[in-house]
Amino acid sequence: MSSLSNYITEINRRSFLKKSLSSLGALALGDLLSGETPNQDGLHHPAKVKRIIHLCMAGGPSHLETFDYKPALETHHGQAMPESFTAGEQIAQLQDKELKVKGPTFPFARHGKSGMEITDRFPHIASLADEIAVVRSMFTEQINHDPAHTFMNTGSIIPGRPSMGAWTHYGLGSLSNDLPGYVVLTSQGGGQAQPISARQWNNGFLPSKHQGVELRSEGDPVYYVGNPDGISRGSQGDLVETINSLNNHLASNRHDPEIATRIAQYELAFQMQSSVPDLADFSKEPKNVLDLYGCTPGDGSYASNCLMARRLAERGVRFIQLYHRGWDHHGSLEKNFKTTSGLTDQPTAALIKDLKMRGMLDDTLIIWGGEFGRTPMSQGAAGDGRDHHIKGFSIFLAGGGIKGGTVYGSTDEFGYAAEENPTAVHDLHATMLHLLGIDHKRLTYRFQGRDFRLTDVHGHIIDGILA
Amino acid sequence: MPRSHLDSIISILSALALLPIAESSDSSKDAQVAVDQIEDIEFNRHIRPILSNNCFFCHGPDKEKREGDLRLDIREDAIEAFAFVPGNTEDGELLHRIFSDDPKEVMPEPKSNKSLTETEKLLLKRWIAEGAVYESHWSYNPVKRPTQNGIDEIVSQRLKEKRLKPSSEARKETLIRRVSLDLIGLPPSAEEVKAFVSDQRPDAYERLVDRLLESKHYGEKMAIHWLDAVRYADTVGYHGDQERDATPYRDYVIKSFNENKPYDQFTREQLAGDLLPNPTIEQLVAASYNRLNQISREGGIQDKEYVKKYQSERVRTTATTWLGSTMACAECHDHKFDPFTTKDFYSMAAFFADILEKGAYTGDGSYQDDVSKYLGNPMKHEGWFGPEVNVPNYVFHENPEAVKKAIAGKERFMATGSPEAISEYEQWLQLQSSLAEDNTPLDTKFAYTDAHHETTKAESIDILSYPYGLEKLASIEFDARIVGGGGRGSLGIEIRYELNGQMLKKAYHLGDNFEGELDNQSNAPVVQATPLLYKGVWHPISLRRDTLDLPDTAKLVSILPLKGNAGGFRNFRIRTLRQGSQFGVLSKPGQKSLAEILDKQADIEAQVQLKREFFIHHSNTFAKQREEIDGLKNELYGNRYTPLTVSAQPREVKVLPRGNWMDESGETVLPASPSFLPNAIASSDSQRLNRLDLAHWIVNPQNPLTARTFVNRVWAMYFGTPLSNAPEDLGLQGEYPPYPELLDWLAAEFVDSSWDIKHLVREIVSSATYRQSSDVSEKLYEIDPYNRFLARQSPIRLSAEIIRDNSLKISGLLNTKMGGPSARPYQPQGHYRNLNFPRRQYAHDTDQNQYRRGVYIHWQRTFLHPMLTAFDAGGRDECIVKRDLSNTPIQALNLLNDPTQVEAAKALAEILMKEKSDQARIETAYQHALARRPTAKERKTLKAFINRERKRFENKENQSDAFLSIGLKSPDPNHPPVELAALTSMSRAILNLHETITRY
Repeated sequence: MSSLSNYITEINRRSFLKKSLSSLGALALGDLLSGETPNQDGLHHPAKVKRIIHLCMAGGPSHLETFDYKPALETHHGQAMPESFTAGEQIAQLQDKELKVKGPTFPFARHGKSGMEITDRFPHIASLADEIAVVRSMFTEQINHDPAHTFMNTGSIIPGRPSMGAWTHYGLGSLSNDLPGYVVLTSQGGGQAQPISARQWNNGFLPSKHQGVELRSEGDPVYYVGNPDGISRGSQGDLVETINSLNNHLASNRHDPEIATRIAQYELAFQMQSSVPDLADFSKEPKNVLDLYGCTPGDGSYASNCLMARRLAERGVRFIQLYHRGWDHHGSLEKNFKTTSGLTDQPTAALIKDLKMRGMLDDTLIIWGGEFGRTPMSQGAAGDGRDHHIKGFSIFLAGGGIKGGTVYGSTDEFGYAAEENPTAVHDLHATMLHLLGIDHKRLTYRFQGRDFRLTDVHGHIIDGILA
Repeated sequence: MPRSHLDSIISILSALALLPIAESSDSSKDAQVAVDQIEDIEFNRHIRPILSNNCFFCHGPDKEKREGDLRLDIREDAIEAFAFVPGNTEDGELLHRIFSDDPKEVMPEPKSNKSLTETEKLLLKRWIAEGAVYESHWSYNPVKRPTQNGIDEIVSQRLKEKRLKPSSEARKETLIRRVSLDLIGLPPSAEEVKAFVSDQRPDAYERLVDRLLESKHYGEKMAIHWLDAVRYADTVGYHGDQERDATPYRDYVIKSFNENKPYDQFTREQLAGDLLPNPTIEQLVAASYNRLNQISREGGIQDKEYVKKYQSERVRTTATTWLGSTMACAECHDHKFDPFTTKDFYSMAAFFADILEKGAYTGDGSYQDDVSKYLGNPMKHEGWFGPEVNVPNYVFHENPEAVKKAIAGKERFMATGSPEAISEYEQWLQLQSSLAEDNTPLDTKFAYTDAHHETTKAESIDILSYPYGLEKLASIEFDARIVGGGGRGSLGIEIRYELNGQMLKKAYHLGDNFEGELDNQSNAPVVQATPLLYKGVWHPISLRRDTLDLPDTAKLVSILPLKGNAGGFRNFRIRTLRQGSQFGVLSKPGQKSLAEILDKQADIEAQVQLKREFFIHHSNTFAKQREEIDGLKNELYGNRYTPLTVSAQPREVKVLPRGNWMDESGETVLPASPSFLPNAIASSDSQRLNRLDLAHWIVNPQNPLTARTFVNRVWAMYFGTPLSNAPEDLGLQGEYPPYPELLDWLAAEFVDSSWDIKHLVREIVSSATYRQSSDVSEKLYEIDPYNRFLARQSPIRLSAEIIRDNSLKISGLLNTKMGGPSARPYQPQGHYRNLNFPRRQYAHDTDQNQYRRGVYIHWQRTFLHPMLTAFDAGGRDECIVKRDLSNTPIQALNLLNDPTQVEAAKALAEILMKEKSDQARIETAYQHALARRPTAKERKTLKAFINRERKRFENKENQSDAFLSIGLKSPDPNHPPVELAALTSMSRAILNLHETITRY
């Protein structure tokens, strides 16, 4: 198979030339690299990390119950929210409702050398306080789930733009020869699960090979990766060889590089037919690792997905995105938050620890956060929930190039709006690309007559969180 | 960065109309040579791309971004600003700046990440030396019919100039496969290939083209491309991505192409069918184009924000589809490259401001006008997602007469009866007489009589007592009506019954588009009992005994409305078998005849009448036929409800500063066309223009963009690449077409033929240019890798839908039925598991619908069928006018392992079983799949593979039973399994060939 991978490389090189010339557009870095493994020289500057793991807490976790402790909310709990904060601002489900302050639901405590405040519902994450950099001053532009995810992923609210995973893959290619370069996993639990659309990992106007591939816990992990019933691996291999031999015969009669590409893709598909099941085979994971994550492998849980994220990272997947659908706590926040935090705290921390033990945390960037935060005001007759909120919320980052133990930016005393170092989604994107060795202003793709960027015309690197 | 280097090569290539220039050369000397080689410098071909790519961002039309008060897109302004002096290369800022080595002076500025190549600099220099002549942008100039006569003359003239020779005509086998796949999206049958190859008449090819253009499948193929542009899908897209039925619109598109509706009419109907005088249902359906955009029912969304989103999307899609223009940029600022202003964007949006809609299809949304003025009757009503029109199925049925005949034929067959039916009839008559003699009232209120229990309040319906088992029940009838709520559907009843001493219940939802709320409330299975309920209208509901799906021994205890009903019921009654059968109630004459027979007063006429009615409508014997008839009747008289465009009080449209929907400070605008384009139209205070005016303006023969945009895309269907390879953007940043005169000839011909689409298509596919072989020598490939000079045909990988159709046709599985509800092919389980509100279960079709064409596949925007995604179809969130053509391992996995493909292989194998030898089987398979004979090597390879597979199935390495049970259709039991399985393996190989999914 070694000659095969050379062959594939050769094919990729050829099809890149073809593609790049035919699109009359900008070229991506990955396309310029001679092989599957990126060469540092091809980057805009030395990279700190090779891969991204985005832990998307879908639904919008409350910053006021996680990383942004606001004593003022406690003091004013149950009182009317001062209008100076809310006048003229966008509101989601609280439209035309009475706005009352809601205090933090759970106690906070100080952790790590920096003494950052973290909810007591996150004991495992809190134990890593010196590893993570919390940004408390995020803001976004979209107040409803679907467009907010789109904005978080693509930096635009117009449908049809590529997601950050697709941009990354377009820029850097994959480190894996037999797995997709951009993989998505989903899980749910804790309150109502808002839908999440495949457009969130779409390639948009980029070539479709850059789209995210969903890895599933039921059925075939990747669609159609299993042989048809009754067909042995030997038989399937023979079939692929037969097809390729006939395709080779065709290639010998006509000058068409697409045939050679097709041959290579069939070889690759056949490799995936064993590499994907191997990926999904957790039987060699020792008990102490399973205990670390607290998971039953392959059960579709967030914990299992975190373990899978590590396995994907080991195998060279460039961009790994986990969605946990369970943070939309409009009501019964206390109960639902307990469930969701219970499902996600330990596995999140386990992933960081596990990567660190394997020496992989240094070249991985982990991003934890939702599509927005939640209101300082309560929601519902019982006042036991919080609505969507976009003017200020928290995320954290960990891994290569990140200054652990950092708290960056802040919101006002009611946790309403980002006040110090307001940080835009485009800034997060710029920083992420920066750590990958890419200048966000120079990663472009020509579409509709314009050179598009993930950061559009915006984006500043968040220097304050970088080591 | 290597990027700029390669970009420069690309710029040279485009600047020099793809002259083969050595990739690595851009030294001054080579650049000088390249520039000297150019005979005439043309502004549009050579200069504008350089200025547009590098300069216009800061020195172009956008006044907000303009630097140094210099604009280079207008010659006079540039000269006045001393950017250059025509004919003088010594003075002028432009040349000084671009040749400068000083980073503070050089243009483009280093921070812009743009730089000019030597060639580009020298081109600019020569252009200024020769007088710096400007041309207006090619696509904004009037279409000018070239002097040459037709495609072939234009192409051969250019090829001569380039000293290239056209390729010879393709072999006849190749030609028929190519033109069949291109025109109807299906491969030719072996017989069709044979007939064409042996047809020696000089016009054999033209006859073939005529036949294909008359095929009903032509419209299906054309529709694929059009549906991409108009973002047609089966679901709403945003958030919960619920279904709403736009399939009548899809059928309209197919029918229009088949009828060869002129493009101007096609355009008017879609943009403004509802505004035409006395619009037909078809025209109303056409106008649902305006409402195919993504919409949302997410809780907490702001009505106004979403109205703006929809408004902008319509401008983007309409501008891209009809004008090949990227107006999106002008939403927030004046376009940086094209003369579109922000005001143009919102003035265009104002054309659509009359569309009756909500932003939020939740409780928070509201219409801009009183809905009841326009809706609330069986024809037009309000659905979950706004106004809908009732479209009877016969409107778009391909052959209503045939269905009527089929119904009549079946009824005739049933009416003649059979010994079994006669004995059933006699038993039934006996039961009737015993029921008639049974004087015990079945129910004090409702038995036998037509007494009504009336209420308009759902809560107050009494629990009924009904002391019998269901064996005497014919039907439960009542009227139902929806009054409140966001739309239709949330109305249901629950039946409580006793079975084997247990109290059980079952819920029935009344009406379509049910969202699962009842399920939550009753914990009972939900059965869909009847089609749609219109809001505010009383509907007679009949729950027939056979549709209740309860055992005979169940004892009815009560019927009650479900909680959360936003409506009412009245006229409850229970019919017993005394008036009919479990299949329903007898007709009035039937009841009269029955009474007469029971009284022994019936004449022969009455006896015959009742017997016929019994056979046709009530006998168990003919239950299957009856079901078939119901199906056929539904095919004709059933309804679909599709988004309706209602022209209501227009909303006020303001220019939104930076596109911010919360900023109300912008000026109010009225409908107007983009002001820089010819024959501009604008509303006045006394006369507001509408969508019909917009449509007229778009199809004005002098509109320079409309015809060019369409013919450019049509060309791509038959050559793979549009003439201007940025079909979404014919503006300044698009591609200057290597063959502008060809594009113009086609556009002129199209308009002059009164927008005759089939004429356009015929002109293209009849040309010698089209008929060339797609074989290419290495040399020609080097010179022209993307076939922009057209010295050959191009191989084209089939599109997603056609790959499916091709496999189904080759294997004989294809169901060629047209139109109707969308089809659901096999799909991996759990594909929709990330959807919610409601949660979705996908059930694939278990009948002939499994084998429908790709154009009819259910199009779930957020989770498109994985096969469609793999082969580059998009979710159609927005307008798409060009699909990627990728080549990935995911595609290989799909073709290898998707049950659709495996079943097709099995069906092909069954066809091959008829042949006596492997040799003959391989021959036949190749004829079916590739319209050609296999070579000796191919035969040898496949023979050996079949033999190896035979062994694997014999020695149980492979399991033939499991393998052959993939798919709905069980194989003919007479086929030996090992043999059939081995041939299925061989057929899989053939369906996976690169050649099979490519048209050459």
